[in-house]
Amino acid sequence: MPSYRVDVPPEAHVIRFRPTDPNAVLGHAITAYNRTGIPGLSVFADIAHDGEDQAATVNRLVATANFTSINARVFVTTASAILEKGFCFTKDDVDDEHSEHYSVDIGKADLDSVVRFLDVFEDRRRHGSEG
Amino acid sequence: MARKVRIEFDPNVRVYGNGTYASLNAVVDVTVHRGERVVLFESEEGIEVDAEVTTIDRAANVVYFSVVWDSLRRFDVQTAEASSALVASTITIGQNVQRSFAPTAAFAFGGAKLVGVR
Repeated sequence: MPSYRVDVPPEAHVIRFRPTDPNAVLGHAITAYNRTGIPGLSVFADIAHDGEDQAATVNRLVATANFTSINARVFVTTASAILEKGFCFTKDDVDDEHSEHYSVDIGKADLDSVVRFLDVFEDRRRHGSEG
Repeated sequence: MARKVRIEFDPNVRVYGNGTYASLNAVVDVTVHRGERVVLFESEEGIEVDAEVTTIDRAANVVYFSVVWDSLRRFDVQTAEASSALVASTITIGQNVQRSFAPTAAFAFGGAKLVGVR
């Protein structure tokens, strides 16, 4: 399954869900590498729509991910934080991938790269949720 | 009614719209096949979701699923353990041979990993 690099605006909000355990995440990066040749880790990302604050954008991305039925922990960052680590965004070379879904190419499928990737995310409970 | 095989996955992953995939790296004993209904789970968050095997890609070492995202839920550890125990106690080996064994630590929380395809 080929994938290709894409530009994501630095101001875009980026979210992902657990796992956050580096070894578990590394396992998924290796699986992605086996599939595409790229150690990619999945995220949902988009810029704020008109009138949206960060929380509203995050909640919209949570809905896009079909996670509205449970109060899952959400980990939030920006595209600029990911790009500053030297990572890049990629998409599958198929037409039906969600427009808000990306894989972040972390360069190497090793624990150090996974930890650097996870470090850019802040733990954020859903807006308006008590947890 | 037969319990569904439980397979650990990354709930962040989406392919082909709302589909997802998981690794075949750990495939050893349990079998799954195209069209089989399974339960995907993520143990750190404690969530699970119903899914169906759509494609088994041995070249890429992954299995693809269509996912019923409306079924996303917290899993009950006791239910997951019971399900895992059942899966672990009667596992198909190859085509026709079955054997029984006690659940291992890998089955003790969150259920069985995918360990086979057919």
